[in-house]
Amino acid sequence: MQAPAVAAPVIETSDLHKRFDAIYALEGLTLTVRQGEVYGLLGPNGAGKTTLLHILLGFLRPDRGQVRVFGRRPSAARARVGYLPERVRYHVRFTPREYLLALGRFSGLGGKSLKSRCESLLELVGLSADADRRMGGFSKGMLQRLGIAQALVHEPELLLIDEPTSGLDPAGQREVIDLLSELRHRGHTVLMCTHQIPEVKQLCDRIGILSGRRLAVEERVDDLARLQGVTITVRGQSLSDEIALQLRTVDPLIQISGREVRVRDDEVLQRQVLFTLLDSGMSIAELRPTGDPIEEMFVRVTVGRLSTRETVQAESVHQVESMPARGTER
Amino acid sequence: MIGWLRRTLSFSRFTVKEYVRSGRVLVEIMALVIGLWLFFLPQIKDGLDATYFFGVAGLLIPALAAVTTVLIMRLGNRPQGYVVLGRRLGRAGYLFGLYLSATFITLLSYALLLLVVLVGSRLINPVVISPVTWAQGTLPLMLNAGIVAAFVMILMPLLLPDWMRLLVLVSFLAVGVSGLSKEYGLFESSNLGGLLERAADLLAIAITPVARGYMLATSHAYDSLAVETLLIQLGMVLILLGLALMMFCRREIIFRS
Repeated sequence: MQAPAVAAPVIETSDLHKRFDAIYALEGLTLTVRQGEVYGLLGPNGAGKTTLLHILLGFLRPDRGQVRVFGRRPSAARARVGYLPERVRYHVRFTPREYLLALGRFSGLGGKSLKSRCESLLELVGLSADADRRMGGFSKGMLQRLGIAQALVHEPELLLIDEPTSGLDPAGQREVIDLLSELRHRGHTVLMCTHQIPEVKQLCDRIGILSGRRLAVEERVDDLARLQGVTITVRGQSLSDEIALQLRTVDPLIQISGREVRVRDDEVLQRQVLFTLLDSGMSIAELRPTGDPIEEMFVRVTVGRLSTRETVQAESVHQVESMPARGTER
Repeated sequence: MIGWLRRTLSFSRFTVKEYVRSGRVLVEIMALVIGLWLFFLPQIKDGLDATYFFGVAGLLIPALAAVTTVLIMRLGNRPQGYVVLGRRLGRAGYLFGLYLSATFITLLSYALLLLVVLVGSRLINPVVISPVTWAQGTLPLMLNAGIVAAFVMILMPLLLPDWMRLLVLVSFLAVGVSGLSKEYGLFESSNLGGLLERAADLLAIAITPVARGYMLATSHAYDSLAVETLLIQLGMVLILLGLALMMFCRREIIFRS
C-alpha cells in the first residue's frame, strides 16, 4: 500500500530564538506549516506571535535558529506571501481602489489584470460601493476587510494573518471570519496568530499553542473536537489500574485522571463506560459536560499546568515542552 | 532592474501623493512664500542678479530639502509601512522611494521658486539672464540638495539607532567647539585640542563637495574644475545613498505608532 503523500512544508522554523534587549520573545521555536494547511497559532499576549510573523516576513532577524519560507530566506519569498497585520493601520488618505492598485504595483503587477484583480477583491470584501471613498471615514471592520483584500492583491500562496478580529465588534468579527472561511476553501496556506478560540475552531486544520516563547502543544482541530464529551467523577479513591484497563478496552482514547474519566461525545460509548464503572463497584459522584477542549488546553498550557513533556492525550498529542512566560511581544 | 525601478517610482509617486494629501506640503509653500518675500522680492525690484539668486537659493533649497526629507522619512517610519515593505518592493525600493519623493518635492519647490522669480522679474524689472546660466547654477544647487537629503535620511531613526544619532550630534558639537578653541586658543596644550582639530578636518572633507557645489552655483562659471565639482557632488550622493541602503538593510524593522 502506498503511503499518503505529505504536502511540502511552506514554513519551517527550527530552534528559533529572538531577543529584544534583555527580553526574550522567542526561545527555541520549532514549527512546520505545510502546503494548503490552515494553521492557528494560539498564545497569550506577549507569547511571541507577532515576532514570529515579522521574522517570517523578513522584518526581524532571528538571533539563533533556522527559518525558511518556501525553502528560502524570508526576504526572498516575499512575492509569495500576503500579510494581514493585527492593527488596522493603512494609508487612510487613499481610497480602497487607489490603495489596492498601488500595493499591486509595489508587488510588481500592473495593467488590466491588476485592475480587474482589484475590482474582484473589492467585490469579495464587500467594498465595491465604497471603492472611491477615502478610507479615513471607514469603520474598523471595513478597514479589516480592506486588509484582507490588500493581503490578497498579489495572489500570494501563503497568508500570514495576525489577530484578524482584534478590536472588532461582533458583527465585524463575523464578517471577517466569514471572509477568511471563504479563503480557506481557495487552497491558500495560512498561518493565523490569534487568541480567539472560536475563529480557530472554524478556520483551522491544526493548532499550536505558544507558551514560554516556544511551541508547547500542537494538535489537529478535528482530533480536539472529538474530545468534546462528558466528565464522570467517581466517589472515593482514584480509579485503579484494573478499572482503567477495562475502560481503555471500551475506548482506547479515553482520558483518565485520578477520580475523573473523560468520555467522548458518543452516547453508546458513554453508556458503556458508565456500566463498566458501576459494574466495578464504583459510585458516580458527578457527571458533567466537558468544556471546550481547545479552550481547556489553551488554559492548561498558558497557565503552566501542562508541564514539560506531559502527554495530553494518549495517541494524538505531540510531545510538549512548556516554560513559564517571561517575554513580551513586540 | 527595470521592474525594481518601476516599483520604486510607483512607491515614490504614492508617497508624494500622500505627502500632498496630508497637507505637509504647506511647509514648502510657506517656506517659499517667506523666502520670496524676504529675499527675492526686493532684489527683483532692483533688477534680478543670477549670482544673488543662486547665492540665496543655494542655501534655501538645501535647507528645504532637509526639512522635506525629515517629513517624508517620518511618513515612512509608521506601522503603515509593514504592508508596503512586505512586498516585492523590498527595503531598497522602500528607501530609494522615500528619497526620490523628498528630492522630487524639493525639485518642484525649486522650480516653483524659479518660475515665480522669473515671472516677477519679467513683470517688474526685466533683466535678461540666459537659460544656460540658469541651468549652470541649477545643476550644482540641486546636487547639493540631493547630498543634504541623503545625509538627513541617514540621520533619521528609520536608519540610525538613537545612540548613533547622539554620537553624530556630539561630533558636530565637537567640531563647533574646535572652531572656538582655535579662535580663542582653548585646549592648546591638551590632547583634546588636537582631537577636536582632527574631527574638524574630517568634517571639512565631508563638507567640501557641498561647499564647492555652492560656489559653482553662485559663480555659475564653468571652468576646468566645474565638471570635477559636479562629479564629486554626484559621488557624494551615491556614497551617502549606498551607506543609507547598507544601514537600512541591516536594521530590524520595528515601526512604532
